[in-house]
Amino acid sequence: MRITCPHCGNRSLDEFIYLGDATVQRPDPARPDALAAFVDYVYQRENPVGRHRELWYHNAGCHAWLVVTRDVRTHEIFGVEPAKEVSLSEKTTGAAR
Amino acid sequence: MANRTLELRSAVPELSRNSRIGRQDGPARLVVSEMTGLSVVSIAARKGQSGSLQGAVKKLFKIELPNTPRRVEAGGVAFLWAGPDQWIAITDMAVHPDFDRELVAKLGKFASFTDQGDARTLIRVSGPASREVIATGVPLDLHPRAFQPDDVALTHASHIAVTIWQIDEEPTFVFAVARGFARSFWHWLSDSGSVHGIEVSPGT
Amino acid sequence: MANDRFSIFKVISEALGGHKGWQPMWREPEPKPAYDVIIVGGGGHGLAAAYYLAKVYGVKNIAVVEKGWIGSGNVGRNTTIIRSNYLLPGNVPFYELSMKLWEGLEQDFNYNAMISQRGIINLFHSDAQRDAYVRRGNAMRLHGVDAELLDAAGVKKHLPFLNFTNNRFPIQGGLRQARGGTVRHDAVAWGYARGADAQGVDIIQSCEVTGIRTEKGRAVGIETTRGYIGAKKIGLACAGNSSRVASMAGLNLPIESHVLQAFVSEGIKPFIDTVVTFGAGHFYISQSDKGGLVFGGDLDGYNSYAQRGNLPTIEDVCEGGMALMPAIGRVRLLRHWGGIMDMSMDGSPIIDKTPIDGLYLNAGWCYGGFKATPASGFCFAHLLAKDEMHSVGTAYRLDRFATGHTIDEKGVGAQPNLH
Repeated sequence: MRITCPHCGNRSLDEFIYLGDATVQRPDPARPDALAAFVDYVYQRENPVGRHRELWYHNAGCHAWLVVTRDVRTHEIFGVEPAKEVSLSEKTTGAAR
Repeated sequence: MANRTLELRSAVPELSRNSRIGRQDGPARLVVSEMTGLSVVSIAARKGQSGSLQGAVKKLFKIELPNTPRRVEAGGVAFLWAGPDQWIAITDMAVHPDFDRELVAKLGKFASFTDQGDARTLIRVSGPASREVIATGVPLDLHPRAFQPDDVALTHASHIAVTIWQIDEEPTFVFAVARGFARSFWHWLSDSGSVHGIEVSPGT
Repeated sequence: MANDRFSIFKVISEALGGHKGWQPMWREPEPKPAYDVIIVGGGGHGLAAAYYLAKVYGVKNIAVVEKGWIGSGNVGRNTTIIRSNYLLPGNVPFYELSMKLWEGLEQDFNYNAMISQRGIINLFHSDAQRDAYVRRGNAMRLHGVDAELLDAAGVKKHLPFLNFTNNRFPIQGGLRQARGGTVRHDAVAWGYARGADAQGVDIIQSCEVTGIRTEKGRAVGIETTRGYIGAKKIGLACAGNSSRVASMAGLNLPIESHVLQAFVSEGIKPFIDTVVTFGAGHFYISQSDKGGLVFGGDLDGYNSYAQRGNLPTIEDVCEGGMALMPAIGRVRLLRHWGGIMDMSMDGSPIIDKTPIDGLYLNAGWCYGGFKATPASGFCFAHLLAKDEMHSVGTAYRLDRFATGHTIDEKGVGAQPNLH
């Protein structure tokens, strides 16, 4: 498996560190159901078979956080976006869950 | 208080003297030397100021700061891409003894500048076996098709984070290694290169 | 029943008769329309649960459905180690029950599982690590588990060829559990399958679950590639596919699926007569009876449902091996493979009811499932039969993540790839 970093180009897997599911979003602590929402955020995972949006860190490279969309059965990678851009576009479009 | 002079000391003492390592017959197929006497400054654009910084650098140095992993040089100053909105500037310490302060004075509005002269060790590697030796620890394709003079890569060499760039087609490569890891880096490089014979010449 | 009892007389008579009288180890029945209990997943845990459910708890109308064949999943992909050297109160009694069941297993299910209590040594390399292992050893002994602290000379007696003076990780000693060891993993699957079959359990292979039918909040049966099968109770023991199967009932689990690789070298003469773990270097090793060095290391580290890993981890494991025992440098790697681990968020398993009546869960074994097979099966059988947890497994609740009662042996928090 290799990941094409949008900044550095196609790189070996051993340059990257994995964090996990990129779709979970930290809930608003002021929500009335904040406790349950935080349990979900911290512990519950969809763990899908197939496409998975996930956070990787280009540790031995440009030190950027990346959102990678990957098939977890075949390791085919459909897209790599800088997490900064994903986060900014979610903020402006209100796409966050 | 008495005046004290700071002495410049290499992080890799083995690179401070002429030597021949490993295979002794024939010409050495790997040539290694430490690059000394350089000012190295890291540059990080302030939030939203990357464009202004690039404009100001263009005016001052007559070059475009690269937005891809490339190296550009003009007037004795080289700028290397070092990540999104980050660069490393390298120049002759004799000409620019306080390069970081010089840059802060001129460009401090747009970016942060940090002297890395004592934080990085720069090691130049050339010779016909250089690609083969580097391939034992660097997970990059350095074939001329994929990596050419003035290309830059942030990667690792034998688990040690490095910045690598090529300066000519001989080929000559330069590694920037954190000073604290420089000796481990040399351990790997000398180990991997010894079968080819290594010629070490002291810092230039 | 299809199988005969194994005995020395049977072996001799078969030898004299040209081995023509051996029967298949288990039947291949067609699924019945309904069962009292269906266990989804014919791996070690599912088969052990069916075996104890029938034999100890007297439930007779049981099926185990398996999407592949018996032994195709993690029960045939692990590195065969058994041990009960745990630290936390929720874990120690459970794994010790498992060890005790291992010790009597071959007689119990009349099958040679090649159980070998050759001992396991966890190496330490610093004062702090030694203190941590002293604490672990004390916790074990307080629970009646054997544990022995070795200094460097003590380790040297067992493993003279280790690199004791490695600069980064000099070996200062090890925690040894003499009762730990290895078991022939396939034989565990086959033995439990044969034993369950003998008790009347239907083992239905090539039968993939495609849906879980619920009525009024109660699970009533499973849709499969071989048709609908009704059930009073359904137990899930699906390892790396736990999330996928649970999602068929609308459940979201505190689990991520990760790939763990294992390796075996070409066969060599007897070399390592115990199990060694080099945690600091992500490496552990033992030697199989065939002579192959069986070893592994850490997870690849990313979500995966692919039963194969990537090269950086192979390099990492081999580097760990070379750092620990340079003598293996010229041994050739024969095979490597991957298994899908149901990595729970605290590194400990879940054996519990689910919010859906009639649906029970056995999951989250991370990479420690093999040694747990007998106790996991026993406790799951207890839960399925009595609707309450066996006393040694009460900590393995599904709701412990919400209540804060997580069992984090490694202390790394909700980061499955670090457990």
